[in-house]
Amino acid sequence: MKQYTACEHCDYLLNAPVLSHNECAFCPRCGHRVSHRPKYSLQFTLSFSIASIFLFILSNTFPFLSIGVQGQQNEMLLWQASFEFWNHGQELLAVLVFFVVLLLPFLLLIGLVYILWPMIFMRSLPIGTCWIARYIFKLKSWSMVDVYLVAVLASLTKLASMANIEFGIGLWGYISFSICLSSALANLDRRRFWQYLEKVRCHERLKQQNQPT
Amino acid sequence: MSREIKTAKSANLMLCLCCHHLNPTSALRCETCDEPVYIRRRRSYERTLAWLLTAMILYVPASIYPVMTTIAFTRSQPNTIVGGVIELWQQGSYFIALVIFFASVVIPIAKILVLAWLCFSLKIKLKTHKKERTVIYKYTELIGRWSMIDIFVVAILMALLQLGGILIVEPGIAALAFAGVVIATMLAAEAFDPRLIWDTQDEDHH
Repeated sequence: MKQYTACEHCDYLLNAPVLSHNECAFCPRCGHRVSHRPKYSLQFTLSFSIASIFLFILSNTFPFLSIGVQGQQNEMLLWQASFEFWNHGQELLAVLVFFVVLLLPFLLLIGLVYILWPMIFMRSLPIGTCWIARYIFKLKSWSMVDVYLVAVLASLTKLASMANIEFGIGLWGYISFSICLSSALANLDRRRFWQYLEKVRCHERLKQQNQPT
Repeated sequence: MSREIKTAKSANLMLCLCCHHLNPTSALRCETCDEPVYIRRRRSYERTLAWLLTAMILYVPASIYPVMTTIAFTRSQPNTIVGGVIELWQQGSYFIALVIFFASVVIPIAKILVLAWLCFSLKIKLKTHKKERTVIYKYTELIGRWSMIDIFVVAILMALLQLGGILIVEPGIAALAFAGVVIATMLAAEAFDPRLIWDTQDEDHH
């Protein structure tokens, strides 16, 4: 059963692909990419995640955008955009925007570092690995950092005629955060991640068996 | 077709959608990741239709009511989603107008239509264009997040203009309804199981 796998989109039973670096496997029936193996997949995910966490802190502490009217510059922080909905009585939207733009990406990254660091460097699984990993894969598509950046661009063109807008360090931080986050997620392949996890689990079991003797 | 096509289902195996491990059909939870596994996504057809219906109903207030109202001095001007696109086009920022038009008008409608058609094709047990339908499904799933642009634009405009003190922007009912449309279509795409498209063929061979 180990050497078989099935296509996620058409249920076609195929031999589990054995991939070398930078190779992809496609389903022969529906053409869906079954698996891919970027070079140093999980190591890259880990390093990009760590970089992202620093950039996230940076983009939250420095001003995001500043608007100038009649010589007076006012600065806005990243979280203020979602908080503004709350002020206007749209609590649901405020929570949604906050979750999708700030909270979820941050939790994804913390989760990835929490799992991958011990897995790669200590060959051990931290408590609750399975549970966290499952939620990372489930909620991956709900982080909308890149969408938010396009929205920033759109709203700036709307405002360009009205006021003097300046980019803050926070915006640059958020752009690099977005790039690092998408690289981290692009290097993460389901099959490889869970195969690696199984390997580490085996390793742990062997270590436990050897300890008493 | 001369040779029998083997699927995981016909081999009494089921794929865990979380970790892509093949489990025997008797399993309740995946051996690798402990996620509950099913042969096909649970009640895929019904749940997709339910979310689609939600999206369709919410799309009506989302397009009729204003997404935001700008108040300058004493004059207030409500803006619908389509109105905002037209305004941007008239200002000459064609690229952004097109991006917003695609993200908030074309994509949600296309998603609803595509998923409804996929459900309909399952109902009539359509046997052709299986590959094309799977590919279309894949792209509707990928593209769905981008509809959120309009909500974010309202959020950023509100915060920035409030700070600048030029005008006051009030979010409208449509903003909440539109966010609902986006979430409902995303959940509909997540509930749909493309493997059902391919199941009709396999039943013929038995």
